[in-house]
Amino acid sequence: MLKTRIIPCLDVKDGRVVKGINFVDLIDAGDPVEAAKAYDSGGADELCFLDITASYEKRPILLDVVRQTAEQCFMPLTVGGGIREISDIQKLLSSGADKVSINTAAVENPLLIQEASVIFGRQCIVVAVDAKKNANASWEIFTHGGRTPTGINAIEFAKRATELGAGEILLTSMDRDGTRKGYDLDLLKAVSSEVSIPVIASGGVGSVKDLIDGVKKGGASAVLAASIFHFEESSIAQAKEAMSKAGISVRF
Amino acid sequence: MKNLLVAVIDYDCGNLHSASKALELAMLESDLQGSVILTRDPEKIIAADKIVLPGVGAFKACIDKLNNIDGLRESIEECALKIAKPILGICIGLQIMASKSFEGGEHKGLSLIEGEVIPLSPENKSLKIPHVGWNEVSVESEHSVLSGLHQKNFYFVHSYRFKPKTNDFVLAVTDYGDNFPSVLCKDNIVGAQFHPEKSQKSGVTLLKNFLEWSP
Repeated sequence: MLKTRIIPCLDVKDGRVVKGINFVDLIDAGDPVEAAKAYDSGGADELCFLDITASYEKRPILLDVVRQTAEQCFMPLTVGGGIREISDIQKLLSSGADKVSINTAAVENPLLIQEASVIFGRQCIVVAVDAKKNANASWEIFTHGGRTPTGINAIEFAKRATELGAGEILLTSMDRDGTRKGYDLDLLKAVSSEVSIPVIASGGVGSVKDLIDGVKKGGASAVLAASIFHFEESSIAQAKEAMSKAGISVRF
Repeated sequence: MKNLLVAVIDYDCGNLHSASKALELAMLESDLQGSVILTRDPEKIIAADKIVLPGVGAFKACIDKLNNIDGLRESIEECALKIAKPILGICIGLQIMASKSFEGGEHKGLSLIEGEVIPLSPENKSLKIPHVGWNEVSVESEHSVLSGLHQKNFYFVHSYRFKPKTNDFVLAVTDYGDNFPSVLCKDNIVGAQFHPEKSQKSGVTLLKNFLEWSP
């Protein structure tokens, strides 16, 4: 039976892990290489490394930091930030990434999803959707690390990305990110029920209960969190224990 | 003690460094001494004791890359079929060992393990495709490469599966809606649908078993 994945996320800025609230007000949470090492031995199922200011600063991702982080990972590593074209993906994969997460470029040029999945296989292409609830009670996509509104509907875009060849959707609620109020379960449910590919829940985890809700109420295939793991409020093992007690199949 | 030379085939398809790194760790954990090289040089491949064909990618892109490197395909065939060296295929590396694949059209493979690569299509339509994450491997036919690994979790990420010509090639299966072959073997050739290099302790054990295996 397939296990539900727990994915700690390293949001990286200037080579350091940071954690923000609603995508800004960043505080330092350590060295990504040390964090990767700790999560690898702590039983994380996968690791996510996002260079959160690469697109905004219009620069490529820090390949050296990716390489050093990958060295510490005997689990899958998804890397995102600043991917604009096929050659960026090639560079990340050869630096040790197993999957890439595309956000801004996928929204600006959805055909990149198609091109990338033909070359690298769809399982390698994660499309990151950063969504915020708008006045019409629907969810709008933002790009450039949450800085640029697009007017694009998040659910429609997730469906289009799936058709074009995305392998997974990394769905972040910008309203919840860093607030510790739990995932936006309505958003999560709306997207996971509409797409045939796995959805990774992201944004807002304040406790282990939020991870359980993400799976049971939101229909997530995997749960991503940052603060609760970085600041050692919960270990991966404790989170898995609680999820298992709630009837979710996890890997020990 | 003889030095074991392990060649990881470098054909620009994905996470080659991960495979090398995990094999180096497996070597350290075994009683063996040797080295792991990443190469596309036919002479070095033929000189190696064990061959690993890793891979992430789409079938056509990978088989085309392999076919386009001078002498590479021939050296793999010679190792697999004539010299009968132990060879391990990982994920797309396993799939390109098939006779053909239906991923993005119909494409010919290396025909090292006869069979076809077909889409995963579990009857339960609520199951997501690709099959991504950790899943158990149930050993159906005892083999030293799978020693100690029955019911262990490995990391999978794929949308297609290997359908062998005969069930005799199946060493282990995995349940995703229904059972599909997750480890296959024909004589000196083995293949895993999952990624041992990304499967932490269980993966390193499998690679160590492979290094110690003498078919």
